[in-house]
Amino acid sequence: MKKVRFLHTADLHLDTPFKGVAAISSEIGTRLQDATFQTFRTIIDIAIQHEVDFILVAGDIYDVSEQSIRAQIFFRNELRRLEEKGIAAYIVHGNHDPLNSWSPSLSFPKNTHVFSADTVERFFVVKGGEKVAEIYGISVSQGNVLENLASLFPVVSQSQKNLVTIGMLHCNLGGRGVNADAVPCSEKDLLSKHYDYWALGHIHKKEIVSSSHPGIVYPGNPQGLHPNEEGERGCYLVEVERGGNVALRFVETAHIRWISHSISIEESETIDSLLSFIERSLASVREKMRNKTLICKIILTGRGPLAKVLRRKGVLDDLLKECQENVFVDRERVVWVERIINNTRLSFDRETLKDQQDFIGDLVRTFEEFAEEEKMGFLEKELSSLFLSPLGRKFLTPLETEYLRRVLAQSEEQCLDLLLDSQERNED
Amino acid sequence: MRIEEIYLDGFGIFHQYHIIGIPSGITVLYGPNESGKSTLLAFIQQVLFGFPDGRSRKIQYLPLAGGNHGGRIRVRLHNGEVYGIERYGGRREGVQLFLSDGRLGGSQELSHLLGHIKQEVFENIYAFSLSELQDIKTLHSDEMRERMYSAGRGIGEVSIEEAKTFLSNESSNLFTLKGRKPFINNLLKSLKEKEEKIREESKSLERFNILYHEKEELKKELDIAIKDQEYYEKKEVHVEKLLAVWESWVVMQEATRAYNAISAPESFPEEGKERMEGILATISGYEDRILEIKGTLKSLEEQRVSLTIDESLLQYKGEILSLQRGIEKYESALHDLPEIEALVRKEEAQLQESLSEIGRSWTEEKMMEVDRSIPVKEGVRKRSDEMEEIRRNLRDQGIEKNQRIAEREDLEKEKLLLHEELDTKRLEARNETDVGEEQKALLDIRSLLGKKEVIVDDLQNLYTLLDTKKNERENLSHQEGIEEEIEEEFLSSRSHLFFSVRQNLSILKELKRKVEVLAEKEELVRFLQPDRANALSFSWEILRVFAVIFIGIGGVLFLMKGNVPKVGIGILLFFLLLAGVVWMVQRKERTRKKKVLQKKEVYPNYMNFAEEKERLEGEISQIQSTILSLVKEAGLGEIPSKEWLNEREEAWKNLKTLFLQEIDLKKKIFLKEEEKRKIENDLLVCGERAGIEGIPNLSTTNEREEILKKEEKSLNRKKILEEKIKDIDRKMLGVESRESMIEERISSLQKDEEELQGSWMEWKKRRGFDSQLSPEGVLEVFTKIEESSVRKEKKEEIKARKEKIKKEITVYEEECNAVYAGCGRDKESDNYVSAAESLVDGLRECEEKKKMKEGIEREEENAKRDKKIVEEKLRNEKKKQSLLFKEGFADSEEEFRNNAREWETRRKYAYDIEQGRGNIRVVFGEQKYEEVVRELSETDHETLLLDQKQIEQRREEAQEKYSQCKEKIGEIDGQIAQIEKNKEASQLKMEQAVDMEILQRKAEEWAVAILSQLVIEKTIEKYERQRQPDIIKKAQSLFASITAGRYPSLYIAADTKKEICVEETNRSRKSISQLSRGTAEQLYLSLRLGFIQDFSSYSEPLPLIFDDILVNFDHERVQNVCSLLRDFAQEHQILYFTCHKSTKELMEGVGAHIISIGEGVSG
Repeated sequence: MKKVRFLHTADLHLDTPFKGVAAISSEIGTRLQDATFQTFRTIIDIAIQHEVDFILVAGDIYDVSEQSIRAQIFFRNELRRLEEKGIAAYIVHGNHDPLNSWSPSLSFPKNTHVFSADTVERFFVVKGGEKVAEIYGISVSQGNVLENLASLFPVVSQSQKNLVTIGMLHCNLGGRGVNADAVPCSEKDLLSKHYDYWALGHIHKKEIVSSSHPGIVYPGNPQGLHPNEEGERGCYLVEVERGGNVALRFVETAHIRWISHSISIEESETIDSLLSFIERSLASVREKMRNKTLICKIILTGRGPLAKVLRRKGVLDDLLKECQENVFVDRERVVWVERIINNTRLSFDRETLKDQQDFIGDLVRTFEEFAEEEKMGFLEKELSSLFLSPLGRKFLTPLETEYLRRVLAQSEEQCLDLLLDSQERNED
Repeated sequence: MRIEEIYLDGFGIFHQYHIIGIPSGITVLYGPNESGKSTLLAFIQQVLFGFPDGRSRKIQYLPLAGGNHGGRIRVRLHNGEVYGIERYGGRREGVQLFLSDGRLGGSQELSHLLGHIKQEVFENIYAFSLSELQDIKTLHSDEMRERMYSAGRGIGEVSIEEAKTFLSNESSNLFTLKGRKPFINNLLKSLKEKEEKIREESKSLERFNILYHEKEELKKELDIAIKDQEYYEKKEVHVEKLLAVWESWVVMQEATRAYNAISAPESFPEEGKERMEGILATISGYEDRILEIKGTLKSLEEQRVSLTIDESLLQYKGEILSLQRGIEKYESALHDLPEIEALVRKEEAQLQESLSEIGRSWTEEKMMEVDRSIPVKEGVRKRSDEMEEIRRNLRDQGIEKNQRIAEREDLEKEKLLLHEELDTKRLEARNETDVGEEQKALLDIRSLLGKKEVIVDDLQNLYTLLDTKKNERENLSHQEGIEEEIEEEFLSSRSHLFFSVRQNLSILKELKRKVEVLAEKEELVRFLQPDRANALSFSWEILRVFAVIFIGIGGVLFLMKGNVPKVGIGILLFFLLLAGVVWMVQRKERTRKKKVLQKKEVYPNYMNFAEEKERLEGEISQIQSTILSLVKEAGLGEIPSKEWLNEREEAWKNLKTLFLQEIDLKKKIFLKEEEKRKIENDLLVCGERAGIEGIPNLSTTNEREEILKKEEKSLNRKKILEEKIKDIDRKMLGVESRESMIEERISSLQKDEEELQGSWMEWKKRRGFDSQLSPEGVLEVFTKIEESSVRKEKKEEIKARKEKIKKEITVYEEECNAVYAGCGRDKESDNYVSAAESLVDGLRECEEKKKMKEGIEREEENAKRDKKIVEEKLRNEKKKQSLLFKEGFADSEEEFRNNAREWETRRKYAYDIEQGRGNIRVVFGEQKYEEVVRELSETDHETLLLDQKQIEQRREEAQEKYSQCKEKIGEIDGQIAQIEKNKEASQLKMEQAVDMEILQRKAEEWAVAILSQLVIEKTIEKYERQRQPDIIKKAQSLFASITAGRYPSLYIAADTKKEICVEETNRSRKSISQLSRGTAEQLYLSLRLGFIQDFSSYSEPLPLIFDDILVNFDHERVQNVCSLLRDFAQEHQILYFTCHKSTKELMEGVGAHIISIGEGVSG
C-alpha cells in the first residue's frame, strides 16, 4: 500500500510583530521577537525527529509588508537543516508572502520545491526508488488574489490513480477568514478533484475540515500572534494512504501561549487581596502549562466593593504593574500579564436608573438615543479629530458601529460612575 | 441650625459685643442706620466662610474699636447638638469648631455642618442684603444652576460641573487637535518617527540583494585567482624538481659512458667470490671430522668386550627385593612372640576369678548364654516398680475406708434427731388443701363484705332523698288543697285543665280586641265620604291664592299713588311670586292627602264591618261558655285570672314531677334491698366454706384468718423437715456405695500382688537365677556378668595376635630358601637376615654392569650415523663447487677469481646510473620519467634557474588577487550577516506594535471621555428644556402667594439665555426686565426661598439672614412675605435686620422677637 508520512504547517508569519500588547518588559520583548523563529525551528526539529518523508508549508511563511530579510534567510537556513537529513520540503506562497516577494538572492536547498504561481505544478515524491505520491500546488502570485485557484487543479482519475495525491493551496475555504474576499475557494472545488489530502493554509485557527477521503486540513498558525489567538497552536503530522485514509496527529509548537483568565472580584475586599487572588490563580495556570511563555489577559468580572475602586484613575494600571513586576516572571516559565480588562459592574442597576425621572434618568435615556444607528455618523464626527486624522487613520482601527457602541457603553459607565459617586471621589 | 449667640470681639465698629438668647423663629434686629446691621451680617458670613484677604473687593471690617479681629457664634442643630464657631484674623487665622462633647474641629467639619454649601451660595441665598437681592447674576451662577440640576436629580451633593471638568481634563490630557503635549499627540509623533525608522530598516532587503550580487561577482574572480595560483604553484614545483635532480642527471650521464667501456662475462653469480671461498672452507672441515669419528669407534668396541654379567640373579630380582622389604618385619616378629604368650596366660587367670564371684556353678559358657539385653534388664526393673506401686496403693485404700465409716455414723445420728422433731410436727399440722380452700373462702367473704357496705350506703342515701321529695310533695299538695293520696293521671288532667282555661281566655281577649277595631273602622268609614272632601279643599286653596294676589295688587296701587312706580312694580312682582308659591305649596299638600285616601280604599265597603262584628261576638260568647264549663270542672267558683291560672298550672306540673321522682326512688330502693339480700346469702355460703358459723362479719372473718395463718406456718416447717431427712438418706447412700468401691479395689490390688510374685519366680527359674534373688539382686548379677565378658573378649584378642606372628616368621624363612635354590647359590649362614642381605648386594652389582654395557652400545651407534652424514655433506659441497665454476665461466679457481673482479667494476657503474634514474623517478613519478629525461636533455641549468624566478613572480600575483577577493567577500559576508542578524527592524516593529496598542487603548479612553462630555452636555440641554427644576416649581408657588395669585406660573425660557420668565393669570408672559423693581425683587426672593426649601429637604436647614430686603415692597406684599416667612420660620431661624419701624411692627405681628442693636456698642 502506498503511504506517505509528512508534516503539514502554514502561516508561520516569521518576524511578524505581535499585535495587541501594550506593555512588555525587555525579557518578554526578546521572547516575543524570537517566538516565530523559535517555533519554526521547533517544527523542523519535529520533522527531523519523526523522520517524515517531507514537509508541506502552505503559505504565509513571512509577511511581505514587514520587509524582513531575516525571516527569509532564517526560513532558508532551517530548510537546509532538512536537506542535510534528506527530507524534502514543498512550499506554496500565500497572500502575505506572494511568490514574487521571495528574494531572488536566496536560493532554496535542492530538495525544496516551490510551486509556481502561473500554473498548478506537480512534483513526485520518490521513496526507496519508487514514486509514492504526487503533490499538486500553486503559489499565490500577489497579495490580493481574488481568483479561485482551486479550479486550476487537475482532476485525478479515481480508477487509474496509483499514487497518494496531495493538493497544496493557500486559500480561504468557504469564507472563513476575516477578509473573506481574498484567495476564495469552496469545499466542493476541493472534493471534485479526488485527491487524498488537501494541505491548506491561510486560516490561523486549526481546523480539520474533513478528516479523510480526502483529508482537508488547516493546521492554523504554529504560533498565535495576537491576544485573540488563544489556545493550542502547532502543526500536523500526517500519514496518508492511497485512497484517502488519513491519520492526523497534532503537535503543539508555540513558544508563546496567549491565554485569557477571568477573575471575579466578588471574593475580594481589597486590592491587595485581589492581587493575591490573581497571583494564586496565575500560579495554578502556570503549573498547568509549563515550559511556555504565557501572555495573559486578565478579565475582572462581577459586582463588588472593588468595582468602584478599580475605576479610580490609575488603580488598574497600578494593579497591572504589580502583576508584571511581582512574581510572574522567572527565567524558565513566564506568565506575563499583558492587560487587565475591567468588566466589573458597578452596584447601580441601569434599568432602575433609566426609569428615574431626574437628570440621571435623562442621562441614561440620552445614551440610549445615541446608541441608535442613525446617530453613529454624529458620534464619528465627534471623534474625527483623532480617528479620522491622517495618523489616526493609519494607526487606529476604523470607527465601526460596533466599536462606537462599545465606546458609548464605556462612556455611560464612566458618567454614571462620576455622577453617582462624586462624594467618594471628593474624599479621596 | 440656628444661631443662639453672637460674640464680636473686634469687628468693624463692634468690640466685645455680645448678642445672646436669639430664639428660633423670626428675630428682628432693629436699629437705626449706622448701627452696624450690615456689619453683623458680614460678621456672620465671614465667621462661617472666612475673612476676605486684601485682594478681595469685600470690606474687611478691621476692628475699629479695639479687640482681636474676629469673634464667635454659637449654633444649635435640629437634633439639639450645640457648636461654637470661632474665627479670628491675623496670623493664626482659621476657624475652630467647638463641639458640645469637647472635641475640636476645623473647616472640614464646619463645611459638613453647613451641608457643604459654598460661600457664594450662602451669601447670595441665605444671608443677603438688598443689593444681592437685586443682582440677577447671582441666580445665574454655575453653582446655582448646578444646584438646580442636583435638586432635580434627588441624589446628594453631586456636581455635574465637576464631572464635566474632570472629563474635559481627561480628554485634553489625552489628545487635543493641535496640541503637542497630550499623550496621544506625543505617541502619534513617536509612532510616525518609528515608522520612518522602520522604513529605513526595511531597505535591508534591497541592500541584501545588491550585496548578494556583488558577492557573486567576487566569487567568480576568486575562482580565477585560485586557478591561476594553482597553475603557477604546480609549475614552480616542477622547475624546482628539475633543479633538484640536475646533479643526479649529470652523474648518470657519466656512469653510462664508463659502463659501456668495460668488457666482462655475460653474467656472474651473485657474490661469486665469497661463495667460492665458503665452499672450500666447508670441504676441508668435513674431511677432518670423518677422521675423528673413526678413532672414537675403535675405543668403544674395546670397552664393551671387557664387561661380564650374572643373569640368574637378575631373573629373581622381584623376589630378592621382596625379601629385602620383609627383613625388618621378620626381626620384630621374632622379638614380640614370647611377650604375647605371657600376656595370654595372665588374662586366662583373671577371667576364672571373676566367674567364681558370680556363683559356683557359673562357667564361661553359661555366662555367655545369659540374655543381658536392655529389654530384659528393663523388665526386671519394671517388675520391681510394679511391686512397690501395689504395696503403696494398698496402704492408701486402707486409710480411705476408715474415713468413710466415720462419715456414715455421723449421718445416722443426724437422721435420728430429725425424725424425732418430725413426729411432733405431724401431730399439729392439718391437711394442706383444706387450709387453702378456707383461705380462698375468706378472700371471697372480704370482697362480698365490701360490696355489702357500698349497697348499705346507697340505700341510706336513697331513703334520705325519698323523705325529702315526699316532704316537698306533701307541702305542695297541702298548698293546693289536696289532702288525700294522689295519682299520676289526676295530676296530668288537672294541669291540662288549667292550661285549657288559660288558652280560651287568651282567644277571648283577642276576639274582644278585634271587635273594638271593627267598631272604630265602622266609625271612620262612615265619616269619610270621598267626593265631598275633594271639592271642598280645592276651592279653599284657590281662594288663598287669590287673596295673596289681591293683597299684592292693593299694595301696588297704594304705592303707585306715592310716586314710586318702580318699587310698586317690584312689590307687585313680589306678590305675584308669593301667590305662585302659595299655589305650589297647596298643590303639593293636596296631592299628599289624595295619596292617603287612595291607600284606605283597600278595605271593603264599611257595611261589611257589622257582619264581621256580629260573627266575632258569637265566637266570644261560645268561648265564654267553654271557659265556664272548664272552671266548673276544675271546681272553681268563678273565672280565675290568667296569672292565677298560670301559677296553678306551674304548681301542678311541679307536683307531677315530684310525684314521678318519688316513684322512681322507691323503685331504686327496692332493687338495692334485693341486691343486699343476695350478698348476705353469698356470705352465708362462704362462711360455711371458711368454717365460720352464721353470717360472717368482719371480726369473725379476722379471727378465722389468724387461725389459718398459724396452721399454714406449722405445715411449712413439717415440709422442710421431711426435705432434710430425704437429703440425709441420699447422702448415706452415697457414702455406702463409696465404701464398697474401696473394698473392691483392695481385693483387686492383693490379687495383682500375688500374680506378680508368681510370674517373678517363674522368670528366675527360667533364666537360671537363684530363686532367692530379688529383682535388685538379679540386676547386680547382670553387672558382674558384664565385667567378666569384657575380660573374656580381651583374652581372645591377645591369643589371636600370638598366632598371627608365628605364621609370619614361617612364611619369610620359606621364601628365602626358595630364592637360594632358584639361583643355584648356597646359603653362607643360617641367619636368614644376613642371607637375604647378601642376595640384595649381588643383585645390585649385576644391574650396574648391565647399564654400562648398554651405554657403550648406544655411543657406537651414534658415531656410525654421524660419519655417514658428514660423508654425504662432503659430496654435496664438491658438487656445488663445480656448479659455481660453471656459472662464473671458469674452469679453475684462478680464472674464477679474475672473472669476479671484472664483474664488480661494471656493476658499480650500473648502480650509479640506476641511482640517478631512481632519483628522477622519485621526484617526478614513474609516468613522467621519459618526459622529464627528454626535458632535461633539452635544457641546461641556467635556463632552469631563470624559469624558476619568472614562475614565482606569477604565482605571487595570483595569490595577491586571491586574498583581495577573499577580503572583499568577507566584508560582504559581514554585511550580509549583519543584515541577517539584525534584529533592529524586529525590535522596532515590535515597539511600533506596542505603541499602536497603547495608542488604541488611549484613543479609546479619549473617545470615552469625549462621548461622556457630549452626552452630559446633551442631557443638560434636554434637562433644561424639558424639566423645570424643582426649585423653579417651588419658587413659582412662593411667588404666586407673594403676588396674591397675580403671577401663577414661572418658567425658564428655552432659548440660549435661559432667562426666567413669569406668566400672568391671563397667560401673558413677562421677562424680568418687564417687571417693576419691587415685583422683580419679589421674584428673586421667591427663587431664593424656593432654593432654600429644596436644599433643606436633604440637609440641615440653615438660618436665613436678610438685611432690609422688603423696602421696595408695597404694604400688602410685605404682609404676604411676612406670613410666608412665618411659615419658613417653622423650619429655619430667620434673622431680619431693619431700620424701619413699620417693618419691625409687621414682623412683630407674625410673632417676631425683637432685639435692638446699636446699644452698648462701644465707640
